Amino acid sequence: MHEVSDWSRVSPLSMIHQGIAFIRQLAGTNPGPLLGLLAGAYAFAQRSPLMLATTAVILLGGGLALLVLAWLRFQYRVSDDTIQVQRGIFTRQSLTLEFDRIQNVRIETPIYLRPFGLARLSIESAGSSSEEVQLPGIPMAHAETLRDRALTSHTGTPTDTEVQSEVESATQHLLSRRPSDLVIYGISSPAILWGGAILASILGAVTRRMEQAESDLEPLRALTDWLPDSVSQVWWVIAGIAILLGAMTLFSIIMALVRYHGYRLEKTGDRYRLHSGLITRREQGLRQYRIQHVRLAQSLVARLFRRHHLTCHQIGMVQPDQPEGSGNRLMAPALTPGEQQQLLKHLLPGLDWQTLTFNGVSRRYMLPRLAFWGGLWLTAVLGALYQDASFWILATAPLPPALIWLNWRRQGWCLNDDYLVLRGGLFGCHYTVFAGFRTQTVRVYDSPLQRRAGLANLATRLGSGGFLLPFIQRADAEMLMDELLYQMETSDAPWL
Amino acid sequence: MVLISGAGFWLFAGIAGLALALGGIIPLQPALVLGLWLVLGIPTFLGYPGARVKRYAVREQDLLFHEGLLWKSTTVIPRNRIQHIETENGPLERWFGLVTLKCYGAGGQQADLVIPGLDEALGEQLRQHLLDQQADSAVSAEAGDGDA
Repeated sequence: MHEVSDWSRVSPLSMIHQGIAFIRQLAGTNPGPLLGLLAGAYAFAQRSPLMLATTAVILLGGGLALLVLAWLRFQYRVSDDTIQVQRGIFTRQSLTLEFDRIQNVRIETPIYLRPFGLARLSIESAGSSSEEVQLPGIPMAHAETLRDRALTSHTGTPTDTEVQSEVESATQHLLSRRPSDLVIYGISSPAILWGGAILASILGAVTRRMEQAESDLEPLRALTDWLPDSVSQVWWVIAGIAILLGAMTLFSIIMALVRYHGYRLEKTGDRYRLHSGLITRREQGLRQYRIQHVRLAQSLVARLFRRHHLTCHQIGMVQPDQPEGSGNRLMAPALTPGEQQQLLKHLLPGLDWQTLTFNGVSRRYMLPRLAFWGGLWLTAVLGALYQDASFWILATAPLPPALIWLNWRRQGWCLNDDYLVLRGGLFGCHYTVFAGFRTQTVRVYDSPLQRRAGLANLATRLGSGGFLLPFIQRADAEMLMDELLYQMETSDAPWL
Repeated sequence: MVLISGAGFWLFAGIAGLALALGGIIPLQPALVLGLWLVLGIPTFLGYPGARVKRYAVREQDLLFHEGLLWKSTTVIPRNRIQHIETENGPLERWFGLVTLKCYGAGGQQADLVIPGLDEALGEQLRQHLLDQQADSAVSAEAGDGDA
């Protein structure tokens, strides 16, 4: 492995990737203004087409020139144990990444690079996710050798036996997903909310434009005239919600099918490898000892299908604006009970899922929530009385207490040898499992009322996020804290 | 320390508010202003008793911090989980010769354990002590973990 290659460029096709990434960023973060801009441009074009054409040509030309410049300026070099990258048009950046420090390597092959045998390599170093280096448009074989080098340079340190065992053990196929599984995942995943958010923002933009242009309202008015008067307003609202839900579900299913098409999870030695994707094929890798916590979630809809979604998290902050299974998380969607058991056997060795018994949390868990929602409800009722509005709001009284009760019933914890399992949820149910020695900080705290009742909260923080166990017995909290501290302080295993 | 930084502001704000109300410049009852001042100032007035109950402990394997008058909390971070340590002192703290010690774990943005108001020499000593021990354990566990 003694090659110090010269500075080299990525394929010019990477410009396509950069352009698409830019547009996606523009459209993804804020589709509303973009739609407005397009509509504005359309209106402008009707008045003076020549102006618009020149502006468009200049913008496009400028964009292309920037893309070409960026491509010319982007160079990388691979030496014995580092990757160096130079980039930037106006401010030049030069980055050096050591193979030892690399946390995560991803190979993706978008559809426009596939015919040319090119791939995009994403490298994340330890620490922040902002320090990510992307090499778009390098040959597939080159990407694979780079990945292997990055991943094996870790093994140099732990033990040699580990490397040997890896050579010995053949690749083991763990899981693949049929389209029907993915449809179930699409229906039941939280990505539904995503679709809803995008749809809502598009609708918002459309209605805003409609309000601006009076003339556009004509077809809508014609529509309302055409509809029979007998249909009441309530039905309209219900039908609208149903249509919206349907569209969201459809969107979510399509997203799931595109994202996880050809899902294949394999295990070689202690390394998991996941292939998936229709338009962009991705390959994610994760080593067993890097898994910080495993989350097993079941939403209400997933409950009807008796499926669970499983996610393996490794170190790094969970970014709230990213959908499930992106970044450095490994996702296994819509697992049947059998598949779930089989997968958990690999991911969490020594944990017998069937025999777990959970301890609930104190009833008082409901008190602050009841107080909060009760107060809110009371204000709403007072407001309604004052304005003598509808009495519908009175009918909603039993709703929050019922939900709070459901939520309380779900809270639970279980300490099983090395593992701590936390349970939560509302209609659905989710479990968070981690080995005690992976904890980094433990905090026990209580409020005056909790103290009087002999209760406390336990907060733990891992490299992959923080978890809270509320309203448990003070003695239990202290026992758990001592147990976790004992495991942390006596374990020699790398915990990151 | 906390008391002084907060009280400096609140004393001034209270006096200014009262003066304005008495002078009739803002259309509020002076009593109301006084009441508001008392209520808003509660966290500041509790600063001193709050600071009295802040405690820390250094054990063989971990570092503890205890705080809270009514909402009590105990935070523990084992020494082998501390990634880096920071000491910080603002202008006011520097004036009084104090430092704030911050211990960071991996993967987080915020400090996991913060000990405010340490004497400057003591803070430096504590930092050095924790770092030394970290270095010791790092040497012994070198082979075990290369990328922590």
